[in-house]
Amino acid sequence: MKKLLLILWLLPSLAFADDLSKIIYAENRIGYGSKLSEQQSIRQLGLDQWIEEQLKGNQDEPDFLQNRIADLSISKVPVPAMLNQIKAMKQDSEDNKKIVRTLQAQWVYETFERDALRALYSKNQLRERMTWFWFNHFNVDSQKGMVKDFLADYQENVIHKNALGNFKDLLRATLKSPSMSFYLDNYQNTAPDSLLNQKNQQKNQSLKGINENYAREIMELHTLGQGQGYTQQDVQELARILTGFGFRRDTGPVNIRKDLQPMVVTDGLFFFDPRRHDFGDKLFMGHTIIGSGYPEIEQVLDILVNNPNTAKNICRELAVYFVDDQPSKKLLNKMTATFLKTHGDIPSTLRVIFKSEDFWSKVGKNNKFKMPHEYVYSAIRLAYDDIPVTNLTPLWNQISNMGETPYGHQTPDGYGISNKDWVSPDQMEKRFTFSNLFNYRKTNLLNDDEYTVRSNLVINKSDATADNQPKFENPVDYEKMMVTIGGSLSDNTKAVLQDAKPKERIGYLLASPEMLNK
Amino acid sequence: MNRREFLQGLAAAPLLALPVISSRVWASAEISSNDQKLLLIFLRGAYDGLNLLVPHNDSFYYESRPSIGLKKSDDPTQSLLALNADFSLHPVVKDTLLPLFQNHELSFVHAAGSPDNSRSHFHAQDVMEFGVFNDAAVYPNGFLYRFYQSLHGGNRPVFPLSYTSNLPLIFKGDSVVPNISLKGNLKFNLNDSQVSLYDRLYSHSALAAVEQQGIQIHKQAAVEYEQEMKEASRGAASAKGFAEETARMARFIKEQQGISIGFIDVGGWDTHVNQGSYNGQYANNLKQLAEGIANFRQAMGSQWKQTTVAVISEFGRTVRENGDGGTDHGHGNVMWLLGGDINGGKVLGEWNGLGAATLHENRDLPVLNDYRSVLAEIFASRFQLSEQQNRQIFPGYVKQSFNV
Repeated sequence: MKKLLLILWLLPSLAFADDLSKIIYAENRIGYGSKLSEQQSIRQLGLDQWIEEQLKGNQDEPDFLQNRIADLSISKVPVPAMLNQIKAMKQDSEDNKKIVRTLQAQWVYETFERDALRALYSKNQLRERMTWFWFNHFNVDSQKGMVKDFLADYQENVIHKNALGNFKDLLRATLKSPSMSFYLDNYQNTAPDSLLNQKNQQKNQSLKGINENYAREIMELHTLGQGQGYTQQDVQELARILTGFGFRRDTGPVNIRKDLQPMVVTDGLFFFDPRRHDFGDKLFMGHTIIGSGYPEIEQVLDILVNNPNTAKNICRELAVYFVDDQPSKKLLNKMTATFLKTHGDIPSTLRVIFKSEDFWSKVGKNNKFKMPHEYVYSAIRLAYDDIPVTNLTPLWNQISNMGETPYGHQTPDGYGISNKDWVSPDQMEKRFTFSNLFNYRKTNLLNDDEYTVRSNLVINKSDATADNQPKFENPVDYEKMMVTIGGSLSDNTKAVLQDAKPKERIGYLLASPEMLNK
Repeated sequence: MNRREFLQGLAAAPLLALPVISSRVWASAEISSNDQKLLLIFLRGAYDGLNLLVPHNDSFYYESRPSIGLKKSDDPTQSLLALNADFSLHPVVKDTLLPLFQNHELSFVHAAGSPDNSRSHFHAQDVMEFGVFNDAAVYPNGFLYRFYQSLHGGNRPVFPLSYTSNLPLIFKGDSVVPNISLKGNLKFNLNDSQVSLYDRLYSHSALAAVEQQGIQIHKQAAVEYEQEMKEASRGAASAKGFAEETARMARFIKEQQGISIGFIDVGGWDTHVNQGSYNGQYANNLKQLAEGIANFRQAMGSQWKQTTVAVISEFGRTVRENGDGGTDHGHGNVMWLLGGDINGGKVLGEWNGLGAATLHENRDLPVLNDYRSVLAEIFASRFQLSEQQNRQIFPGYVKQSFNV
């Protein structure tokens, strides 16, 4: 029976032998790595059509995936209710503090669980890749204060939702998100002579002031790029414009003086507070911005998104992510022109990459070293295919251990996406240790026991299983894995696999240069 | 095989003849009391040196920092630690840095840093690690790598090692410098026949050297780790957090039978909001860092006398606190130098006092003392590098004298 199955699998791959390396490449670059079931649907659709579907990113998801996500508490509890849960705890005793920490850790972990499940099983692989990319571009650190309360919402309704949309919408959504506002301190940014400060002065309370953290990073990292056509003066002017942009804890009506009401802007938890805003005129990047409150930021978004430096900065980052650490001028020029012409349409810009010679010239070159999450997801996809894993904590632990703690990059630049950021001796050993778990069938992804997540953020539920006493599990099938990617392996890799003990072949396959690179 | 034999075996193994770990196969492997050890600690995120080394006579400091400024007080937990007529230390380092300073094992250079004026963490860190300041966005190698290269080929083996989970720019170069994160469990689970298959998998790959380095350094770490566990089971105190890492670094460095060049980075210094003063996030971070360094000094034992530790950060923070009890991106900062043979107990370099007139761009400490010049002096005096070699490590730097 097994032999027959093997032949059935082999038949299509032999028939399309020339295409196999292209399919594997597309699965690795546009998605999170090869799996047999996906290869079959790519063959049915044809590669070009599959890529078009990926650019749309709206295919129906498998039922079990939808159900698993719907069951998570982050899918059921809206952010204001989360904040109320914490508030109700009051945090006055050690026990209550621990309950709050556990709740917050659960929200962060569930956000990872949702991401990882989609990376492993979603039909819309490119949307998942772009979700990682944009989260990293608009990075927030879940270890900083309230970010952990907002994280699940940020990931879903700001990033995932806009991942294949328009860049300006995405930028605006991050700007209005409590997550970014808290992380880059803008919720504190207050004009020194604002109404709020005048009131505080009367009451002899401490005064608030300008905080230029977000103003700098929105230009340096999110749009124009470091040093690209703005000055310290522009940072300071943008910081003035951004005064009053923050968030509130619930979505009810705003209690504020009547004459100020028309200037208030809310959207979910987003809150533009005119009492903290600097209503003076500003001179920003050569444009005079008349002090008018919220509308000032819409002018700024236009200036930033239509600036060619923004197009260059975003397109370069995309090209490095998808193609090569040193993308060609030709590709960059074409992408930049499309980005500007479409005013930041993300799928149109990505289509330029996927139709380019540069992209397809890298088939079989293994020129990009996978990032830890890419590597771990691709190994699980290859080994487990559509078998639903039930315990994802080992994935969190492994990815963290390889230096990429999910949502844990402290600084706003996010994780590096070039080879130089990840290739290192320590990294190699960590990946071998991971792949070696498969040799001993210690991957431990199919148990439902209490688990331990090794992180200062996530509370240990118990020290019972996870890495300490893994259960034997063996759903993975070496021969099936070889049918999936065997055709793209080098002779050297094949020879090593041949010489390895049969029960250890999976580990070496997953540790091969063809798996560590893409 | 005991630990010493294992390490000597490593030294004799052909793998170590790779240019990447040592310069050559050497005959005698005894530890030389002259072998210099350098450890560079990089504080990523721009730490606020002005609240570590406080110019307590300058009223401008207190005017600029009404809520986070540190004062002299009768309450010993809330009082500055006076070092000399001009400067005091943050009270949180009372049991760690103060004794080192008093014992002449620690000096500071105030208003130190790099010429970069971007106020961008990422750009400033990159150029500080390249050690080159021109218009080029990238440089082919980091300055610590060039330092290693200039010692490489001398009459003693050289051991560069980055104690980080990724290889930092500062150590990037044509050959691979090993790296290892010393956090957590350091067991090594691969047997020899498995290792040989992993080696073969990469024998034709561009990653071959990286792969071999990774296995070697983890084998060594596992031996050190086993030793640590043995000592712990006999009741030796075991440290946590950064202090655990520094104790492990000291183990590595003491076993390296030659010149050591180590690097580690510590983050969490970008305190735009609620920086705190005597307590709070900055004080906590500083306390942990200082404890780690004091622990390192202790663990180095008799080899401390040939050890130099330098602490740097990409830039300083604004002299004036901002509206949120924090500080924003600035320029000049405080550099630390520690070691058994350092000109300790001093505040070295130029210092013009703190006042509105001495500020850089009316907001920051100026850079009066170039970090490259401080390090070049250490390279010359401790590692016997020539001025020509220093100029290859730091092209275009301006030589100043610090008497380190």
